[in-house]
Amino acid sequence: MFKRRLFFSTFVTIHLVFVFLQIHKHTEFIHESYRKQKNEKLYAKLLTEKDTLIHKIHTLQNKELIKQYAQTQLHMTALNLKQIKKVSDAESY
Amino acid sequence: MLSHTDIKLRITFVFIGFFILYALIIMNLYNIQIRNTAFYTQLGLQQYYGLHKHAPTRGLVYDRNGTLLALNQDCLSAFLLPKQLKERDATLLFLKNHFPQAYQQLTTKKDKQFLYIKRNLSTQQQELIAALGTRDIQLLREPHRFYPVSAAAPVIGSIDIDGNGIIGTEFQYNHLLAGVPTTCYLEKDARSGNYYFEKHNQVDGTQGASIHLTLDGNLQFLIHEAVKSTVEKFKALEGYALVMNPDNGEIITMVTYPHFDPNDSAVTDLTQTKNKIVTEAYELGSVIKTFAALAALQEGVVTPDELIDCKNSKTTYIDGRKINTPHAHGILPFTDVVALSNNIGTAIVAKRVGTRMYDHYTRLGFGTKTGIQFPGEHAGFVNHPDNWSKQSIISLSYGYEITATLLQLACALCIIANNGRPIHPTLCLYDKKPINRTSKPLYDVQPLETIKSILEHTTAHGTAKHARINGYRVMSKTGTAILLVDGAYDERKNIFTCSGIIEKGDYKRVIVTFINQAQGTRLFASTVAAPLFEQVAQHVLINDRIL
Repeated sequence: MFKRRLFFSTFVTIHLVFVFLQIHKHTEFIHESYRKQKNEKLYAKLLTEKDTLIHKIHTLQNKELIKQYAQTQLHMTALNLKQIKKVSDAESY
Repeated sequence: MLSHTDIKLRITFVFIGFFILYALIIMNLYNIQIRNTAFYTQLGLQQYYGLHKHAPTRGLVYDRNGTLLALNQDCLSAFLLPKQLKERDATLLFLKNHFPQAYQQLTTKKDKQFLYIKRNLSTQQQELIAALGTRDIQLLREPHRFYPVSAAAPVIGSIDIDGNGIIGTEFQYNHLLAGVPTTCYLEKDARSGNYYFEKHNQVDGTQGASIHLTLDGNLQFLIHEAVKSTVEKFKALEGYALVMNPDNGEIITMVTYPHFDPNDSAVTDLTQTKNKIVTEAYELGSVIKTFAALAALQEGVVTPDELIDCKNSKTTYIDGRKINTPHAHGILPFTDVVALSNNIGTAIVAKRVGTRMYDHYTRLGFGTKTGIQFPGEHAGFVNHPDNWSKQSIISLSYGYEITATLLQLACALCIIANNGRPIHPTLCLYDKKPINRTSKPLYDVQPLETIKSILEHTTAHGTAKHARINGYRVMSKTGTAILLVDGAYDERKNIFTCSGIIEKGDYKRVIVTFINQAQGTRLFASTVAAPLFEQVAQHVLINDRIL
């Protein structure tokens, strides 16, 4: 009689543990899935911020503005081939 | 005390009541589970599963040095839900004042659930909406493009509001850049909000692939500035410049001015979106003499030293057909006929080539597409001998009855630069088709070397003097042509072209410059397009460190 009870209680306990583990597994899965999705959203947000910063960099690197700045502020002029003097390796030392 | 009969009656009544209730439930269950099972299953699935289409990130466009020419930058779009307006009057007034199109749509299509007010809002429009501070107008972030080098706009093109390439390389390589959207089912319930339990991919998408163009962003800008200043100096309609590497067909720069601003969504003049170097064909005038001379030399009907009687007149008649030439020359060696661009001398020699001139022009690629696969490429036209009049061979010799794009002109020059071997022009670094150096060249070595010498002589002593650069071998030819307007030649409207090859050692570049309708009297390509050629060549040489 005791053995039978022990068997049944063990059987039921094991099953309850399995059911609990199954539920726990599923909960953990959902939990991790949410974390993954949160990270995906963060990643997408960071990518957007990166795009915005790249956009800012390229806006600042606008060649027309740089040319205007070079000409008006730094008084630079366009380079002509005649103005270039080729220096040989020997001369450079 | 209730009698037995009463109790029985009551029980029966309650039983019938429950029976009807259960019958209704069973009928309803039958209705839901069996009769309309398909409908309710679908309804349930719709609530449980959400079909989600995720647009891939569009590939980037780089130049040959790895500098970005097109990048992704989200834009903001404004929308409203017409059925849920909280401050209807204020919103309508705002729309009427600032977004009349949206106002019109809202007032005419009253059953709309969703309405875009404006997609891709400008900063000013964003500020206006922010200042209004209404909850009715909502903002949506959408993918968009930013083009840092606007000088490359006609080549790179642009995308539409839905992210599809519509012009230029954005359209040409859309299949690579766009990628494939991922379609997936998201398993979720009412409380999961933006999150899901499970995700089942229905269509596995791919990210858009980035492409590297053969263009040089810096050079594109510098040459654009040179073309712009020439166009402004001569108050011309437009100007183009093209630089190609004849060794492999790479297009280093392709400039058209004026052009549209790719970062401005409101393009007013659609013609400015065209890359006219590829999409427009012109009767180019005397630059074609290069190829007429090559044909004559290949056919052996003339030698560079042969003296040609140019009649010492600006006007003469050949076979009863009138020929005009800008300057009168007497007897000239053939080299000088080309160098001084005498139409009469060229026509006399061309007549010896006869109908074979057509074969030479088509062999050089005129009248057929170059194979660049650029959207809207023009094939040009060469008048077939079947349609020739007595005038045709004369006209063909100095660039009429033949229309060509500037790309075709550059490709024909590449054949000369490559010792007779044709190239495939390309804008993408991966699309290069190597030149078959073992194949038989289209032209013999001797005529090619002779035409190179003639072009060099043209630059040193002829009409292309302003294209000369000391220390470099420059082989160029100018051409001033009269434009055909509504079926008649309008002598007040001219196009000015200078095309040639620049060489130093193994280094070679083919350059074509073009100015359309410069304003002024007695203007020739030698004073309009040749100086631009020289400027372009200088930029190219400095950029490539060929010193």
